[in-house]
Amino acid sequence: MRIVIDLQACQSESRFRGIGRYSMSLTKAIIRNSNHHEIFIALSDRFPETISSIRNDFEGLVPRDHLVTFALPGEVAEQNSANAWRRRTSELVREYFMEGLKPDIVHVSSLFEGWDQDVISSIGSNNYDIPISVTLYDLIPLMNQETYLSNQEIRKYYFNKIQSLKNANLLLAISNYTRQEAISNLGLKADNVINISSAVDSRFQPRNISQQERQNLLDRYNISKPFILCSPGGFDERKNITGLLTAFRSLPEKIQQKYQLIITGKIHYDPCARIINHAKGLGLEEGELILTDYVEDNELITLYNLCDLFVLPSLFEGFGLPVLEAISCGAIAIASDTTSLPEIISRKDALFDPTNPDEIAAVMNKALADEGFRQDLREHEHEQSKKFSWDISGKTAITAFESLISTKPKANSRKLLNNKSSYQKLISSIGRIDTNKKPTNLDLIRTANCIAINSSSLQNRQILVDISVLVHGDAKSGIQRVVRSVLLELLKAPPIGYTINPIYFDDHCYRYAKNFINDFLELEHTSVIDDVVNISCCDIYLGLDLSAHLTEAIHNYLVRLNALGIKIYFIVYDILLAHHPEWWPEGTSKIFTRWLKSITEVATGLVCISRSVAVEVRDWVNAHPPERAEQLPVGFFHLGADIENSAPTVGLPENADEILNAMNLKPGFLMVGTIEPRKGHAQVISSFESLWNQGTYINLVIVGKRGWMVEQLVDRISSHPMLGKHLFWLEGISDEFLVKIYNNSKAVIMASEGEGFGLPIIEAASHNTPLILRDLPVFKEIAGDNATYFSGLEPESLASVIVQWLDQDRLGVVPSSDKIEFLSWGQSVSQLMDVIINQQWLLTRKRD
Amino acid sequence: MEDEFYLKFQDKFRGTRETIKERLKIYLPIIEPLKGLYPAGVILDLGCGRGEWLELVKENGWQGVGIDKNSSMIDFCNAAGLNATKEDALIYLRSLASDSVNVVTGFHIAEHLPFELLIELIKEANRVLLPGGFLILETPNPENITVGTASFYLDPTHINPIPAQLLSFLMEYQGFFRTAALRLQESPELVSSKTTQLFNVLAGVSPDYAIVAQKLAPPESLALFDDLLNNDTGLTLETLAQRYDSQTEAVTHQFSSQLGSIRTELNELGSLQSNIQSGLNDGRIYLQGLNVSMEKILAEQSNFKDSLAAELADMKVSIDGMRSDIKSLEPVDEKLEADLDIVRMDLQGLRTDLENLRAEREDLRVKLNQARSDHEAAESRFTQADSDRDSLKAELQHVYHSRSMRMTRPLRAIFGWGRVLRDRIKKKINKGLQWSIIEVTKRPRLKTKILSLLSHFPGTKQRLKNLTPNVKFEISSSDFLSEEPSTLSLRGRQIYNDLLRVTNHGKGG
Repeated sequence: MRIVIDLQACQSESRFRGIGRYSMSLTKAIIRNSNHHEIFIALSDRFPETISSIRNDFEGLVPRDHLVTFALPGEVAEQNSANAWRRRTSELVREYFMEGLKPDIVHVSSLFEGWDQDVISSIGSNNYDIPISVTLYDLIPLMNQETYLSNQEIRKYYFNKIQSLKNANLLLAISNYTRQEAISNLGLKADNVINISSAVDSRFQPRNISQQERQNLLDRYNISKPFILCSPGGFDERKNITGLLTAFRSLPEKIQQKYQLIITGKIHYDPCARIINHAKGLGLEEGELILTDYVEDNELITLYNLCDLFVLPSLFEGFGLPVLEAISCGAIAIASDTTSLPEIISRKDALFDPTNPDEIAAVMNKALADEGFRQDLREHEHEQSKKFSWDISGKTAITAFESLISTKPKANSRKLLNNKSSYQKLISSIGRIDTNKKPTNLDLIRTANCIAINSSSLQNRQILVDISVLVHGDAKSGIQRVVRSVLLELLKAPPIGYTINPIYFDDHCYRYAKNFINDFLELEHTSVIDDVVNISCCDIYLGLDLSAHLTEAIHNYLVRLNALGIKIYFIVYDILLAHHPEWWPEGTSKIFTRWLKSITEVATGLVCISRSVAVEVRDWVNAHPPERAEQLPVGFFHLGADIENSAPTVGLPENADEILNAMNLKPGFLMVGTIEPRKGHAQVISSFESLWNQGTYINLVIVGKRGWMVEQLVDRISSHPMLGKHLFWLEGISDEFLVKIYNNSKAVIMASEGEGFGLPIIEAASHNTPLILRDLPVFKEIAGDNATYFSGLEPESLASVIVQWLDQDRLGVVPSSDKIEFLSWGQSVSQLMDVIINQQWLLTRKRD
Repeated sequence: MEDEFYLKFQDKFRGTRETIKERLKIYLPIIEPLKGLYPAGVILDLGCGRGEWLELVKENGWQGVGIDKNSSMIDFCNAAGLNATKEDALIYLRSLASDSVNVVTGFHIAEHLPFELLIELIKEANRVLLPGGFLILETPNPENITVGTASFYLDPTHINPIPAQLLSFLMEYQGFFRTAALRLQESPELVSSKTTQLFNVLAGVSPDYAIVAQKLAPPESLALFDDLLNNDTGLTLETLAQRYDSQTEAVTHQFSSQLGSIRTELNELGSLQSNIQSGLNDGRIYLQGLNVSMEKILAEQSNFKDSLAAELADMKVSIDGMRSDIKSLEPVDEKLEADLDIVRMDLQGLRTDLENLRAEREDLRVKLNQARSDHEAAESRFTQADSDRDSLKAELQHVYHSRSMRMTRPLRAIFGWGRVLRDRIKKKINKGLQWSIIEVTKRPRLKTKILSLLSHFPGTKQRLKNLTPNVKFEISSSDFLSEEPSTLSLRGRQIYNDLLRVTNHGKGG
């Protein structure tokens, strides 16, 4: 059975109130007791800031893919008449989305939402015949219309909701009283309304309070005597606080003097004034009544543990959670005998008529003075408290679902619409909407967008590969080579169940890079405009290129993708810019750190190109904790090597042979890589100069375009006396030429002071060219013992190692690179997919 | 032998009369003291020859008698006024009385006499001499090697050389008390010379000697002659030989030391030579090294030259290519110029547009500032109202808790009214605001503008939010949607068209 729980109640304002907490606890309990049933949790994209933390709450309880988000076209709060058309449409769109999930039952956590919030829940405009169940908290407004439904519009809204309620297939009432009320007042069948009761968090328990803690708390709230506690959870009139005050005042004088009256809970100005007014009217003295305002849970628990008596004098409640909280903590509680409260206490002599202050006082008195009564009551209530648990409620709910389904047809046997007809129904239903306000063009656009997003297909997931930088111009840099290679492999062999769709940002929006791919794969050019990207919630976004310049433009978009449930992954090549800003032009580092900040906030995971970089990234993240609720896993994969298979560029310069011949006169050492400050060219050239001065004639071949901040170095090379004889510099050569040069070189030198991977190492290994490397951890990771290492920034450090190497070479004992294990690009991309799709992460950063 | 011959012979070989006379003076001091002993001194000269001695002694106060067998000689002497007789020496001696003569001399006669005669002569001489008288016999010295082996025999009448030891022995044997040997007629230079040649060793020894023998006399007489007889003169063979030897030694020594130094020099030369040799070797090796380097450099140079040549060829080719490229560009240039003009005009147009946009932006900026200041005013009013409310609330709490509350009950009633009044007014204001908010939300464009303005004033925005918590604030930049259907995806556009169709959009209200 597939159960979809609509959890908008945990996203709206209700998430701060009892309804929100109830829904969260019940959902978790249902999941815990779900047996073999599939549980999905549906959220609305109208509250994007709540989605991440909810996902975090359910981390490990349900699979990530079971937390789905539907898109709505805009504001839908009922109280705003401008939203009318949108509201109706959203109801239909939501239902269409639900249908797409193929649920057996949809459970709405809170129906009476959406007056002033963007919550959509509709029952009755039901195109799809999905069984719906609803949590029913209370019918207080219905039963007290003068107080709550005096506003015409609100009244109308409320009765609409009641109508929907009636249309539900199953109601889960939070108390027996509520159940009874629903059955009687709404004319519902008893079978369709189940009491699943309520429970409190496991933290509400008797506790040992240390003397210190006790004193701290009492001092904090100016409590100097034994006290009577009331935590009404709100200060509506129905909470009857004034009644409590009157009752307290009626207690015997010595009792009054013995005890203080403590009332907790966030209280606004008006009710506060009212209560104080009433207190003073009664002649209560200063210090006898304390209003604590908002109290945190663990302090509340302590208060429950320390109080002498707990009183809940509400006129009516849906359940009366504070009472259960109190008795769960071992307090002695008395309450009104109305509505649902007797269900909790279940003992007549602990109840009173809340309208009768004298009766309240009498019971209070007894509960304070009569020791035997107290003891008895405490034991009884302690037993009572055990009858309420979330697991019980959850199990009851599941049972109710199961029996509902057994009577109703199952999803695959009920009249299941295929996607097309489901869609048709939606469109025609939208056409039938009749509201005063007609939809604007923007509304239609938005709606169309949402419907497209909500048409989720679990079969046809996309991997949206962001190659924005590559599309705008192939810079032939190291990163570009990787992007091209990974892209090619993905296109050749997409993972099962996924389509590879390269996308790019064209300064307005994301588009499919069809034209680019045609060129890339040398297919026929179609030259139409590339289409805007269509997203849906099961897709994956893969930030393949380093597009730090796009951060500002796309950050919010990525946040939205994340909220919609799309998994976002970035490849991190290195974070050298964060640690060594001086190696790049001024200002670059700031852009990069901003990018880093953005992706650590928004990513589902980060994949680095080596373990070393992954460790660095994890450390950076720990030092700069991003604002996010969920964990940030950090993984890595290794790059591949075969130049021939990476869509290489071709083309030999005319004098290729001459250059090769000139280079072959002496043993040649090769450096590959853009000329940047950190690549260490200056040190290598200096060390070669010292070797040339000593009469050791060996060649240095530098392959790489000039980069940034290297004007001096470029001048040095261009005007070097040995240029053309023993020093060679080849800018911007094709991969084809590069292969030839690898084959003609004695060894490859990598002197970078910082690298993310070191692709030339693998390329050299694939040509069996020996390696001379700086002893960076990442190089050790890739090459292991199959290279010669040097350390230090002085030319002499490298020169002496080269001299040694030449000796070893004469003896034939240089470490060869043929044992370096490297991957083909196919294997590399397999690793990457393993990380992303099979969730094989190395390092997860736990949220505190 | 013919006397004349011998006279001439003596003149030639012995020397001149004057020379001889000079030589004979040596004896005079020795015999002189005899004058004191025997004032009438007679000197008998046997074989007086040319009478040199006779003349000499006569000059020195002696009576001299000479005897010779050569008549020419005697004539000569007599001619010179000398007392000389032709007589046989021995016969004459025997005719004399004993102890009657002071001195008996015989210069160069001994070697003429056979040995037995000699003995007799000496014997007889001894007898005739007075006590203390002298016998002086001078004869060639065979110690001189040239004399003893050669020049003695120049005179054929010489019999044989008589060594000095023999003659002196003879004298002593015949009874003379004492004898002294006097070596004579050596070269005075040779005596004083330090050096001597070999010839002098052979011929430089004193060629003659004399034995001076004295007959026994009373000691006091003898004592007169002691000093005179102790003179050692002359040159012995030993002396000369030794002199020659030490000379030779000296020379040899000199030679050997010279040889030594030469040897040393030779050694030095030798080591110098080996140094030079090794230096030469090093130089050779170095040269070889230089050769090798030279070869390398030459090889590189030739390579370099080759590559230079190749480069040069390339450059030539590319220059040619460039030349032809440049040629082909010429016609394009004109076209480019025309395009450039068009572009220039476009640019001008763009510049104008930009200016316009800038002006517009300035307008908007002014408007924005105005709106900002308006909202700032509103904001501060709200802040004020808020703080008023809070302070009022606190006051109220305080007031109600005070004991004086009861007493001020009537006053409170009034305040309560005031409060109620204020609440009512506040409600009305809120309601008005709510209405205006709702009206704004109905106008999306206006709402967007106001919202973007409000984003600068989060406080005000929150306040308004609190007033109407129902109205959702949003800016849908997260969708990239606009009023254009082209911002929808393909699917979206299809749906949009369907919606258009069913809602009859455009027709009716």
